[in-house]
Amino acid sequence: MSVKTWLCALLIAGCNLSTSDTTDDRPETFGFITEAILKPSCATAECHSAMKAQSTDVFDSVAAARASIHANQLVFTCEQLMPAETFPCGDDALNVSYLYQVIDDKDAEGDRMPRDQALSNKDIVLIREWIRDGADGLN
Amino acid sequence: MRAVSVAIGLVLVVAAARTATAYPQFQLVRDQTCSACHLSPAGGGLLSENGLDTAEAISQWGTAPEFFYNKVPLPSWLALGGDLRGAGGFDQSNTHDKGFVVFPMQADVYAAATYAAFSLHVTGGVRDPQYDNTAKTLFASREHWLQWQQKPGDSEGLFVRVGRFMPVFGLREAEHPDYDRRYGGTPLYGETYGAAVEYVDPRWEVHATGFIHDPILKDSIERGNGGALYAEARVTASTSVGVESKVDITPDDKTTYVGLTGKQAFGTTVLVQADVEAVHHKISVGGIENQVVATAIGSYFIGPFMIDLGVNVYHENLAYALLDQEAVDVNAHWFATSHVELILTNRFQMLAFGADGESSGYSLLQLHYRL
Repeated sequence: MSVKTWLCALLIAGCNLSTSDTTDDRPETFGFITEAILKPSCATAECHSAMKAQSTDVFDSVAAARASIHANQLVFTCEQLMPAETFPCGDDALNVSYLYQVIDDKDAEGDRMPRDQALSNKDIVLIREWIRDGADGLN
Repeated sequence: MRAVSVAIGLVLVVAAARTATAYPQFQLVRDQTCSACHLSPAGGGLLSENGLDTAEAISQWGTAPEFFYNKVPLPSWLALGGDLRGAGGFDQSNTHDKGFVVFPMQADVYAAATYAAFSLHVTGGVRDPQYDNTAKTLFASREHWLQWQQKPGDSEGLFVRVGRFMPVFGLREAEHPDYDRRYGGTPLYGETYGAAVEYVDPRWEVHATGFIHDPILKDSIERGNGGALYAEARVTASTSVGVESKVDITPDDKTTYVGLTGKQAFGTTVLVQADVEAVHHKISVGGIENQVVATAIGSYFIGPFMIDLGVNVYHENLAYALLDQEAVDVNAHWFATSHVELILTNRFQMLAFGADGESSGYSLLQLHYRL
């Protein structure tokens, strides 16, 4: 991490770190997505923390998020959808994922999440590709 | 469906503004330390005699500032107080989801019992209950600690605390949506069990805390164990600089915070303060995030009013573009009486300055009654 990068972020975040890599090669794993996206964005005190457990979904740890996703069928793995098929199962998994539906919901009557601020497009895409590619680490 | 959405929204928007504590905006422009006005060495909660006098002095119609207007005599060893808050207004979580909301924020009572150099502090009240488990989780004690202080009754000197409280770290704003609280290591309901050794002097203070996540309540917000260190020097009567560090370890990750704080007062009417943190987030299953969290607040005091302009920046992962978010806050406080405060809070929040997602915001009127 260069001094220039730190200073850029500290002082003029608006520059969007134009020197940074614009691709996204962050780990497409359940553990990373939980810790990097779901926990800070969704597991706030009065939403999907263990304290509140809104709609019985808890995203403040990998184990709790895994249990919630399974119990409330927020994401289906390819094995669950098409046990006999080859992987990945792609859009079939995406189309039945309630988790993806709510983070990408554009309907004013819908249940867009998180309530206090939408996820960035980049984070939505990472979750989308993780589901499409078989939801690695969910089982 | 709309009704369900609104109902859920009413509950969830509470996350945007709930339990509040103290106003660090008063430091330097009113007094040098938080403990000059509060019984806790960290600030927040019960007011000391000096704090009560300040509450009366800054208010429009300075009513008796004591607990229940001093109509309920208390023995000298006992202090009682509390905070009630509620808010309502307009909230827009994204361009498709917006509307008016009304919600409760806080209903806490505080008690502190003192015997010689020891005191027991307890905060109890109503919290937002766990989903489908209201009866068992509606009431909670966010804080309860045993305190020893070197100079009983004084606001300075050595303090030792053991119990449940928020590790001292950063600016300690009341406004928990501020990024240095939400993403910077002191989130709403982030109190932990721990032990703290603290020294407070008008010229400097240091707070060292070791903490563990709540071993009794399995649903605490803080999931990790670790330590926090905060030290602040008042280099002049109107300038302070602070250093801070915190390590938080859970089975899933290890988060290390390092940061600087600064405050500059201009007379008794303007205070500028800032907290900048570098955060290293190591995820156990693989992956590292280097983050930046920064909050700067300018406060202007005029009569019974305090106007805050805040700027917040959070970068989720510095290795990648478009993962930053920004928020601008404008809050206007009116201290109507020693006990009643009205606050107009406004926020506009963006993702990568609007380049990578939908912006959000709110405009809420908050009523605060201090017992």
